[in-house]
Amino acid sequence: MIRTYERASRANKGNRSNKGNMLVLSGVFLALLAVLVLVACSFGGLFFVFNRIQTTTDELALTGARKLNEQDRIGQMNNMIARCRQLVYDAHESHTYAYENADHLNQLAEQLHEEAREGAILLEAERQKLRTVAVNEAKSAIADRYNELKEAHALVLPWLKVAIPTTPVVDFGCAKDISSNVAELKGIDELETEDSKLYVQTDSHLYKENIDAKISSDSELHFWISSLPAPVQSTVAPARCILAKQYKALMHPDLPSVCKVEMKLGVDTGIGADAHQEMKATGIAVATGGEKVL
Amino acid sequence: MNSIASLSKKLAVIMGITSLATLTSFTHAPKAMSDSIHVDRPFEWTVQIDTKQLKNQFQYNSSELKELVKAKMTYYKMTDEDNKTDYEDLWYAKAKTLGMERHHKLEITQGDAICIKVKHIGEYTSYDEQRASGKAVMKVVLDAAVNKNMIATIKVPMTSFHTIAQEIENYHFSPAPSGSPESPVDSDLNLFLESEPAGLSQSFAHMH
Repeated sequence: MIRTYERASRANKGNRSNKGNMLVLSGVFLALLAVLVLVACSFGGLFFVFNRIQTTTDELALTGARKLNEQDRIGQMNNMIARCRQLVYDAHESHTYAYENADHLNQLAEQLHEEAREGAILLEAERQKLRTVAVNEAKSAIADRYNELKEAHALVLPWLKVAIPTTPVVDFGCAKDISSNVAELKGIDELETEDSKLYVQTDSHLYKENIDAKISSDSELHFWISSLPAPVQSTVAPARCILAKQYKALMHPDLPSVCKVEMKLGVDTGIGADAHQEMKATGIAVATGGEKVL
Repeated sequence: MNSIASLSKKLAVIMGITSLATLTSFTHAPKAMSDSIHVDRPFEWTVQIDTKQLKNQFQYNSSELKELVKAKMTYYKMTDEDNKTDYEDLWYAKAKTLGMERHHKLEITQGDAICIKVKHIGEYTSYDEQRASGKAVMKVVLDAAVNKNMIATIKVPMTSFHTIAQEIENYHFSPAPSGSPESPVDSDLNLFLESEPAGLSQSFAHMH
């Protein structure tokens, strides 16, 4: 057996080269390793860039959201609208009573009713003004903050080039399943009964979001109550980011309570053939909550 | 001589009695005849209106609602001032009524007389706040009338007297002629406004 092996070994020695190939293998391996490291760095860099743009977009959305309900102006408007509604209802009832039962009070009741209606018309005009002001101020705040942050994104590395993000696209809406901040008003039984059927949530006793809480006796007047987070145990809800699936575009002329910001960022990677792509990030934030009462 | 003396004595007694009676009548003159035209107007309930200028409300560019006034209304029995019931809160902006929140029904016995009392919270009372007070007074006047309560008197701070009086006139109430507050006026709704501290007063009659 040993002789057979020695004969075979001597025969093979004639066909085999004595030169080694570890160096080549090592070189190929190292080259592959270097490529993998570079690819990993690129992906890591892309991941890092995406995180940064997402953080910036969230920050811009929060900046806009905080501006919307600055000093609780939307919360106050919601509360006043509910109270205006109660005033108009009561004035109408008094006028009806005076007209039917007390002629000597009719003129006074009619005048107070008319004043209540004028107050409602004034309030609706102010609500629409507030809508425009809040949106414009939020956009302006976002633009200012964007100008402060945009330069920090530019990056030039041998394998990665990051451009300045595009001007953000801003939209306003509301959050799904967030009611208004207004606590149910009591004191007038008939109105309370109507509200509990149509306009008030049974569990939270808050007025529903994005409703026109019209009074059945006066359909000409509008009482738009908008979505805004209510306080929890007397603590006002801070502005916070929410998921995209919670965002709802405004369908009615409501006061916005959510700010949505979209930004794009051009990225070039230089591994092998140059590759260009555009990253897109979306940030959505809900405004600071309102108080339950005036 | 004796008859003249006795006649003189009788005359002196009569003169004395007459003088005494005259003196008494002057010192105990009815209040209506005195310089200040104040007549006691009894009432069982007081509806108090506390007005206050609110700060930091509706803070946005070109807001018409920044100067908000709140009128808090409570009522209590005259004999139980410490036991007040919250009635309504009213809000005004530039003397326009904006909103109301009712806390409790006006549970005042029908037929009882009411005194409306206005108080201003705060050191300075703006013209808008004074006007808002007048409007709140008229709201109470209507609510009381619907509840079949008579308004015995309306007491307001002296600083706001004229503005509130003007506001009452805006609701088709005319000042009654001065000098004879008890003279009859053909009207279906009468109001009496007086200042605190006392010094100014005015009667009003509702004209259709």
